[in-house]
Amino acid sequence: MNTIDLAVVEAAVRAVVDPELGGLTIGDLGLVYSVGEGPSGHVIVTLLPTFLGCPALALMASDVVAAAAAVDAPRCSVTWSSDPGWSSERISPVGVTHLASIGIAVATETAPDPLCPTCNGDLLRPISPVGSTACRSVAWCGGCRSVIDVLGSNRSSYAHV
Amino acid sequence: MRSWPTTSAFDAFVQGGGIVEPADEMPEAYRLEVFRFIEMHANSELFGGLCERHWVSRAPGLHRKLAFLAKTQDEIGHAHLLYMVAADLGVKTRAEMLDDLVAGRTRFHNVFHYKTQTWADQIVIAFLVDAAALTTQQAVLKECSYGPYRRVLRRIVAEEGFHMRHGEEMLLTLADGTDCQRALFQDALDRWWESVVHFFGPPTKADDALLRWKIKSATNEELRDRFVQKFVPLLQDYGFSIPDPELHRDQNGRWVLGPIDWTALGATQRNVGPDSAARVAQSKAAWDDTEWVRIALHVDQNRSDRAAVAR
Repeated sequence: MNTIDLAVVEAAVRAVVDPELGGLTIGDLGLVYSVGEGPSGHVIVTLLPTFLGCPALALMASDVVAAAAAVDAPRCSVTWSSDPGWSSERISPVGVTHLASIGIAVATETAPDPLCPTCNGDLLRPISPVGSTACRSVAWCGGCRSVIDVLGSNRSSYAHV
Repeated sequence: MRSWPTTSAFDAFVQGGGIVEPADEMPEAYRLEVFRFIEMHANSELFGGLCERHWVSRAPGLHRKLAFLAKTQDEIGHAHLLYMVAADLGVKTRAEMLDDLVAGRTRFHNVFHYKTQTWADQIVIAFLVDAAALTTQQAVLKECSYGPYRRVLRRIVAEEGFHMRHGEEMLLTLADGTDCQRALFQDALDRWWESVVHFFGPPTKADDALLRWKIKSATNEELRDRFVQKFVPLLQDYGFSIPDPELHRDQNGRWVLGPIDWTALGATQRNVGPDSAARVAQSKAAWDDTEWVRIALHVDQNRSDRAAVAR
């Protein structure tokens, strides 16, 4: 039986592409919480969903299992954890850049008012507290007149739109 | 803000790959064409959402129900983004677009003019129609001359790709299933194939303004062909037959469809397809039923049109 190289498995898991974000990996999105080895030698991957009702969870889990199998870890189970909860602070700088390239701004607790990813202006105004998924809100850039999705945010600022 | 001295200077700009931004002084005819195109797309996303909503309570199993709920939100969300881009062009306000849609005065995609009778019908929509839509959207995304639309499409295409994977998984469940499940899908395919072929539209005219201005980058024929080459063999591999007696391969091995009868498409374009009236009535009912939400949220219908007013 092969010994499992957890670092290799973790790299493969991190490289799995999010199904809805045009090529962004789940590693850069900050979904990968831990990759460990269970007592009987199978790999346990713990992922954090951006929100609990996300419809892509089953698909991502099966992609993770396939990615692990491809690096000689055929026994792999995925668990979804909400503790700690995912937050936009977990998105890597590469992730933020990728999201900007597809018109998605990232808002965090410390930087709740992101710049427009299209024109870098500071004229983003909240339009709607939810967009095409529950983890994003919609904003309008008064500078370049683009519609922007905002991932992760201080939702309270959108509450009375 | 940029401007062009003549329409031909503008034509040369977009044909050379130039991207038009909202503040630019674009020719009015361009503004109108790009507006109509985006309005039609937005309407179709909204009707797609309503179509999927119908199946949330009917989908087999919690997993499928959750997926349909999420997809409904996706489609409505896409419509929301697109209506904002369309309204900003200043041709119609968002409220006017929605009023026209629920009154049956504007167009939406042909496939939403037919009734989905069985679960397999909805899988045809979720897989084949989403694949057809993705084929056309990818082509627009690649070269579209209108900047805001192109940027919104990048997000929409990424999500539609996910829908298609979901649709394919549902199709595979039936394809790997019992004889009854396979017959259910074959029956749906027999009834829907023509409208899926129609989805791409009739042959594009040589002087088509959408192509000249790079609002679209491929003809309807090219897009239909891309779809046929990919999905005819795929459906056959799953063991289904394509209901076209004249379907064949040419000497280069490419699939060629039999002659297409456009009669049914014409009816959908005039909103007099088999289920057009019911779909429009359903959208009106949805609009009226949710008025309390807009009141509760103090939504000012014209708020998202402020950019258009300011222009």
